[in-house]
Amino acid sequence: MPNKQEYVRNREGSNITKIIIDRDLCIGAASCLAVAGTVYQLDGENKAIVTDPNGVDDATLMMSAESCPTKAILLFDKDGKQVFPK
Amino acid sequence: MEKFRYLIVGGGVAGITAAETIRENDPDGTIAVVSDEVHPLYSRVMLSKPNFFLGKIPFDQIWLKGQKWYDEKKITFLGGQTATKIDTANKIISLADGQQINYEKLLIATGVSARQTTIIGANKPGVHYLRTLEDGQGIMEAIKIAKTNTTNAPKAIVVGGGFISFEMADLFKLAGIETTLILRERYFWEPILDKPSGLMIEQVIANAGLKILKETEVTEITGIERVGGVILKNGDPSTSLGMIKLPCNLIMFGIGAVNNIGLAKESGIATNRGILANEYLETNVPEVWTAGDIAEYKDLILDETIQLGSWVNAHAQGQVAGLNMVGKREPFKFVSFYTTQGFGMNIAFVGDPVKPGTATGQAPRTVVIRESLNPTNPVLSSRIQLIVDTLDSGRKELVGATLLNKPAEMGLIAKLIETNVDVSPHLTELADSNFDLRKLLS
Repeated sequence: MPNKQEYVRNREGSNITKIIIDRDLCIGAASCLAVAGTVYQLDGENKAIVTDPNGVDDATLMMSAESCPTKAILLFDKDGKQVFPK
Repeated sequence: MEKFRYLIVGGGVAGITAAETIRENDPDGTIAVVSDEVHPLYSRVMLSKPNFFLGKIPFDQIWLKGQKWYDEKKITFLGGQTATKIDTANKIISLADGQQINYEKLLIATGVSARQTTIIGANKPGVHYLRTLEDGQGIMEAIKIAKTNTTNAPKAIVVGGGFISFEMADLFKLAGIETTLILRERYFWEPILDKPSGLMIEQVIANAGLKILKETEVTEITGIERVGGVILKNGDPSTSLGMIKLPCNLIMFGIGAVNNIGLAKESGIATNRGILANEYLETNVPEVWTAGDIAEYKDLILDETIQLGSWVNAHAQGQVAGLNMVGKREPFKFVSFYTTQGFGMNIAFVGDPVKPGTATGQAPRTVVIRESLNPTNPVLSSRIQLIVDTLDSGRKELVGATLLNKPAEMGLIAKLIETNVDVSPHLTELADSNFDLRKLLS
């Protein structure tokens, strides 16, 4: 069973509606925190969690996912299509 | 002669993030990246992570950008090419193959290399370092070879008291290899960590069944065709133990980094340990920027010139350098951090964690310890060192921290550093591990 945590995003005007953190891939490097500190935190297991899925605009959210050195952040659009990683 | 508006030397995360940022802001400017590695951007961080190394994550997960991405972004990738000279007056870079490239704006993001040992036997097969993808693949192969040797149980020696040796020792242990750690220091991660923190790490390593030999050094690598063992110098002459010999099949050295500043230095760009830059990541030469592990830059939050080697920092600097290269005026203002995990423990460094007495030219420093100890299990204990500067005005501000087993407080501590909160009335609360740090941010 994959250890994936889903978060629904409903920020106005946003094309990204779902964030998934793959906890098996996450190593707690925390680059996502550096890019979007209002969206992510590390939990007690040193894994990224989303505390506010609507905390930043789409471009910043995309940059936070791109910054992850293990591609542990997956982003999906309204149609359920995975927009990152492509 | 080929000409590019933006030329980036270095194909790691700083260089490629800069290229990506430039493209977002300048759709038409020509961009080229010169990299001495042949690969497109990959995750250097993943190289020492057990799930990747032991095959639990598919190998292809390591690629962060493919050639297709460079094509789509119209970024010319000159892989496997070494820049040998910069003519900053005429804005020309020379490559090892004789090619010359003209640039308008240049970024040097040449990074660091693994420090190599020069002791007797250093060139034998079985001696490993970890920096590049090839290094990682070499170690994976060495583990396989060691494990197929059925006549003797495989043995590894890991040298060094920092994050590479910590992560690789964990990895060898998980791969079923008997591992011994050799430290020159008195305890793990000296001097950045204090002794109790270092001893906590040593305890979890020892509980996992590894041996740790401290205050000693490898003086020779033995073996006929390949590594067969090491000879150690006993660091404590009073014990008169003399030399110790240990058998092993492979040796991993995690003994620090060498700054790749030669290209910049020989071209008249100011260097110290790294390449010197102001808060805009500009060097002393017009139209030349630097970013990533090699940049020794003016940190606005800490008000000092520092050099930091981490993925997070390199990514953030790549962004800022890219913005400044397209003509914005964006200072690099960022509380950096670095995290690692192994043996069920996680360790983080935030900001400038240098302790009092070892730092120079700074405000008087003190340390506040925030810990919660479990007497029987160090994996369930946590210990934070909060580094506090006292300013002339009497204000006390956090400038750095080291965290053992407390990842959830890393972001909060970074925020306290970034916002220059006066913690002088709160020192007792800071030392109480039950006190909620969020109260100082509201």
